[in-house]
Amino acid sequence: MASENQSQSSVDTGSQRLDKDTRETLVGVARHGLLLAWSFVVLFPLYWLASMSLKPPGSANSLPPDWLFLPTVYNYIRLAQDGAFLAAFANSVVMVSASVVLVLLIGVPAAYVLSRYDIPMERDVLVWILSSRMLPPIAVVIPFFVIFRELNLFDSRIGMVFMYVSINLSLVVWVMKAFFDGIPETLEEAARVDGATRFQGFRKVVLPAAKPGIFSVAIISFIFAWIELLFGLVLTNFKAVPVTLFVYSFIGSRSIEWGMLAAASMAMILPVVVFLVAVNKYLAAGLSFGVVIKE
Amino acid sequence: MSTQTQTETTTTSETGLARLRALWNDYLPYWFVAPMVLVMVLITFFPGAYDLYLSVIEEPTFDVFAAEFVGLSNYATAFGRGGALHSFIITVTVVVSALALESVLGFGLAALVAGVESERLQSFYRVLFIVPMAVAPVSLATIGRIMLNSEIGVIPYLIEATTPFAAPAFLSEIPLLTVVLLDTWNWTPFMFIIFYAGLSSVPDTLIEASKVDGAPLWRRYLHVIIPYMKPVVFVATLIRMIDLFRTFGVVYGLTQGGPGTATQLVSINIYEQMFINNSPGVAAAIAVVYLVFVVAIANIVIAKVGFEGVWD
Amino acid sequence: MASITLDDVTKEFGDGGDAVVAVDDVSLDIEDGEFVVFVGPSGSGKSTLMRMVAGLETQTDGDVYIGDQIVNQLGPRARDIAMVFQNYALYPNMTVEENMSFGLKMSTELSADEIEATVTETAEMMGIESLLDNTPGELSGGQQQRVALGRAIVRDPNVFLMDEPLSNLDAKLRTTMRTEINRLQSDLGVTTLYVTHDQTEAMTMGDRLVVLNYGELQQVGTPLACFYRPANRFVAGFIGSPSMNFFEGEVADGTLVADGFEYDLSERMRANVGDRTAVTLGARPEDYTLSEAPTDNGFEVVVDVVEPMGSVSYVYVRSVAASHDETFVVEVDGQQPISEGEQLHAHAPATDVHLFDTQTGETIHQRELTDDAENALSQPLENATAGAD
Repeated sequence: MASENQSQSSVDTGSQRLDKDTRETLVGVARHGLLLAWSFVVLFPLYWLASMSLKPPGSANSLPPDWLFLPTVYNYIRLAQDGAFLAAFANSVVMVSASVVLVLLIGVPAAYVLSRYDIPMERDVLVWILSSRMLPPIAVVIPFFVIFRELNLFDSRIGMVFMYVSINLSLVVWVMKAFFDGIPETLEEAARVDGATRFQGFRKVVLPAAKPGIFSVAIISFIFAWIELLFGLVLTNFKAVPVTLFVYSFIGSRSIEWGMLAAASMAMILPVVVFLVAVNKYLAAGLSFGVVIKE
Repeated sequence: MSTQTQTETTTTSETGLARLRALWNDYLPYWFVAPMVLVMVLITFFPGAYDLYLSVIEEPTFDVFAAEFVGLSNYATAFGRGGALHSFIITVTVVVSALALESVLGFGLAALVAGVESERLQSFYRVLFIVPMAVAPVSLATIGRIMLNSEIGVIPYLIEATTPFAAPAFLSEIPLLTVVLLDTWNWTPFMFIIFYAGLSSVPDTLIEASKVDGAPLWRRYLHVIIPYMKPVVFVATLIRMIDLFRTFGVVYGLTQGGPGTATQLVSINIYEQMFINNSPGVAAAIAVVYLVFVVAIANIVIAKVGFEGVWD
Repeated sequence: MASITLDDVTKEFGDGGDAVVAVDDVSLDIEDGEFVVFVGPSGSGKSTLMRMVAGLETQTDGDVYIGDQIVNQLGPRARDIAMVFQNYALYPNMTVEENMSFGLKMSTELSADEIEATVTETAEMMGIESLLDNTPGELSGGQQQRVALGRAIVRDPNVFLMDEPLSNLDAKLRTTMRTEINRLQSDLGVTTLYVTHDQTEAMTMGDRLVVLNYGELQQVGTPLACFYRPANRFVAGFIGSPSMNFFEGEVADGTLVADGFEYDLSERMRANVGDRTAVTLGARPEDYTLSEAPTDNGFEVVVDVVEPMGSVSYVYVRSVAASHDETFVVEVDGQQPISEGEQLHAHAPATDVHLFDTQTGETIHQRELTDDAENALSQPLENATAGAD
């Protein structure tokens, strides 16, 4: 059965396989080593922030660090009693949520039309929409700073909601267009033959089928608005201050209370972490403006 | 009634409500895009035009035509005293180095995670590695200020306690590098998650075929996997680049452009011209140049690489 | 129930110089309760024609009637039609029951109870009552197909439109569903338009075939009429599998001279050919015989490939005298031993041969049929010609 050639080559592959096994073990060790190292890089600042927020006042930044300490929620209680923080947090929740609802109301129907109808110069229209994301916010905010003062929208929640809409609209249109492209057009045709109007076909058949896309783009829009600092800095001073500006304000005017700053940061980060984990399956589709659809 | 379009109702003599309903459905695409177009015009054409207007006048006035026209003097100020050129160089440095670092790290991590055998471990890493995105840049800046502080920071302490080297003064000696590193920590997850999805979409048969061909690992990536992922790589890099030009929070929170003007990004410079120096004309002049600069770069990238394979 | 009339219907896509004519001036009468199959290659306009009846496309020119009513201005929802799509188009977020009720909710005033009763009844008829609470994603392809049919039937519409409804099924299921749709249609008696590119479906399903090519009507008639009495070379080649063989030639002195053989025309053929010279001979694979001995009007061929199908074999042969190496197909009994490279004599009897005008493609000579077959064809054929006009 085995000619000389064959046995020769089987010996070769045998010795190669030995090498391959060792190599694979080495690759495995290296892979997990690197992944653990990056995990440490990711986790250490977060761990440090969390531990700072749980340390009693005075020991937050003692060096050498208190690796072992009795956690206390003192900082969180102080934060919960801080009117400025509560107002800013509530502002952010309300303004960012409203902006997400609005940007979906504006962007999703438009994306549907871009996906379903023949639009003249469709690519140019899409790049134009994307260009709104290319404009640096600082360049955009100066005209709005002037105009908002004229229109009494300075330091108003409505003004901030509009600005948040402006940063997310291109994202919503692009992602949702990609999602609608993946939903067969025959669905609406079936609905229209079944007696639905064009709008009913959209609302009752297409929208429910696009739910995962809407959900993920909503959350990503929420995050991009939630972490935005500049608009708050330029367009608010008291009434409509977002939580990002509150965190920033520790650095300047307040005497730095490390524990409370850490607690405030944790309060900002935790809901977003939950959102990110919830949407992680569609995150790539959302962040890539709909280009990567498959997980 | 002999219109070109189909109507949705059988009878044409209808109540006002039904008429309205027919009008709504017959022209649905127009109603659907109108609000988007309105907002897009407001946030693209209007700011550009208004920046341009502000940049050539002395002082904004209530009556836009009453303002005094000053030609290009604001531009001269911006690039003279205003240090605009310096901040453009700083910005490009940050964008290029952060983009390079985040792309390479993001791709490397994606490839490492995609190769993990256990599926549970793989999704654990995938979720863990996206967490830094949850941290607002301004929060990251404040955390950075604490952890990197030369006197009370834990990172300089750990460096000195565990290595023979003296810790650098992150915020005063190497502020630009610190900015880049913080941004990398913050946004590598963005590249990671898109690249990871792109890697998962490479068909197994393609990889198997290249294995059968005997291609070594690096060749497989260079000649098979990365070319297949080209649209993904292009879009991820394009969007991250655009967003990097928007960077503000992390620098403003960390150094406010300092020390001196060492980390004065264009966006910081414009902010300071506008709100610290109270010279809207100069701020607008830099903004106009910045707008043109960023849109031009993005469009050159789009034209050079194109959306081939992204659309169609 | 309703008849359907298309009156000089034209559909162009795009505009100006780039316009593509998808449907070119088609007129057609479909009777109440009739099952009509639109057949043609892809791009022939068969789907577009059906979508214009549905109201999903608006014709550029001409009128569409459902019953006596011109429906040009009406959207699909006002036309009282039901449609089955190639990909089924089941609403993914609704259960089977909701899928089937949707049309009744949208287009009728029925109460929820009445709707439920109707849906249950139809589901029982279709044998899908156990699936009512499932979502489409949980169903197999065959089950989805039944639900799509049930969703159309439950509406009790004037017209059924079916756009290649079986093409996503595997071969075995396709056969079953073909029979089932036939049975349902004759039970319900609803006017049905059925689009397909599939030979077998076209031959077995419709009362009449509407053969289309490049948006133009080629022939309207019963399946057998289209098979035995093709109006032109296109229909002759499109209906029947494997396709009819065609040989272009020149007629001189009552003989057709083609590349590779000569064929003596019969009396009747000569009369039909008249003074034309460019004539194409057409003969179906099953009308040829292969024999070892020379035959009248036969010619020598060499066997290129043999495809045994079981009961029959398809033999690809090439004329020895031909200047080219194109083959044509001959269907022989499966038990006839033939091997590749063998030299044989091919012969198609004069009774079975069609002749076409090479320039226009028009049929100038039809094959002969038995008297019974002739009688069976003649009645509907008149209908068909009336309709095709």
